[in-house]
Amino acid sequence: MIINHPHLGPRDASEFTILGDASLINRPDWQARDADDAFYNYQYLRDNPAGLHRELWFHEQGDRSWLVVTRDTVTHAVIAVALASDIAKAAKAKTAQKTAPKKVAAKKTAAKKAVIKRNAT
Amino acid sequence: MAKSAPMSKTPPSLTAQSPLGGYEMITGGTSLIEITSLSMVSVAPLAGSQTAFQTAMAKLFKTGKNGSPKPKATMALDRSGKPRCILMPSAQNHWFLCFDDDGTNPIDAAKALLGKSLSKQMAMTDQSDSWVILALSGFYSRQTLARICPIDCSASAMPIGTTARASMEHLGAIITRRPDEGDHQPCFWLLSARSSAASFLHAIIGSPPFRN
Repeated sequence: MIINHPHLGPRDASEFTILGDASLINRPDWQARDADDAFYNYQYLRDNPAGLHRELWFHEQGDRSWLVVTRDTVTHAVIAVALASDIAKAAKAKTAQKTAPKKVAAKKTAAKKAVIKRNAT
Repeated sequence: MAKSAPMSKTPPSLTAQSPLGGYEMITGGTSLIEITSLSMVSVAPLAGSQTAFQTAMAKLFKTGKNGSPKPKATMALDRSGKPRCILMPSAQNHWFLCFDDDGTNPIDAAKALLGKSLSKQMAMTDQSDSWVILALSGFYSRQTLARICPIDCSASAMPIGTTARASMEHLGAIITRRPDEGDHQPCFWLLSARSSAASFLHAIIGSPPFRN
């Protein structure tokens, strides 16, 4: 099996070690109310698809990078390879976007409160 | 009570030994020679210093105007002339700075190359004594590599300067293509851990033309 490293080009799979499902990147928030369930799912529950599967691979005999390899478990064909750091960064940016409107809302309420205060005095 | 041996007045002098004692083998127009005169310092830019490092390296190796503007993940930079100075990529955001050993502390020498302000933004480790460097050159060198190196070493796939980490007979190694020698014969440097240098040498000389 050949893994096409985004920086280094095609490399033999023997240079890599596999960790498992790429969902391991998304570690749950330990302070969340449902942390118990979330960590149970994170730790023990795995999909076992016959078909496309996203996996974490480590380039141990290479540049020590973590990769997310999308692989067909039926044919062993490698469909896509990306740096895990890039995917994690993109995911972070997405969640930041989601939380951003809330911050604006918070600012608005703060502004409203300030107006109410001013009116009161 | 037994008398302890008197302390000698002069401390015992220690001589540095290279991992393979200056190994040399020349056969069938192909040579395998241990390089013992290089200092190696690993350089990793601290968070936020990558751009400063890349611009400084482009300046040091004069790559700014022609060729690659910044050091790449697969290409070594080489300052032509003497003393030698080579920057090899070794991992993500991690480099090996190799230069001729002039007797000064390798870290001080590396700091002098990088400049005062920039070297403060780098994590540097002297690894000069931790690696064995073997220069493989000559007509059959690609034949030697064909058995042990999993990376395509042909002239088109590996232009001069290409550097890659590879596993050779299960030993972690770095291969870098050096400028051709006389008669346009290819030259490669093979680097591996000092502790397993003898096994690494065994793996190389178990290949043709060193062994038929």
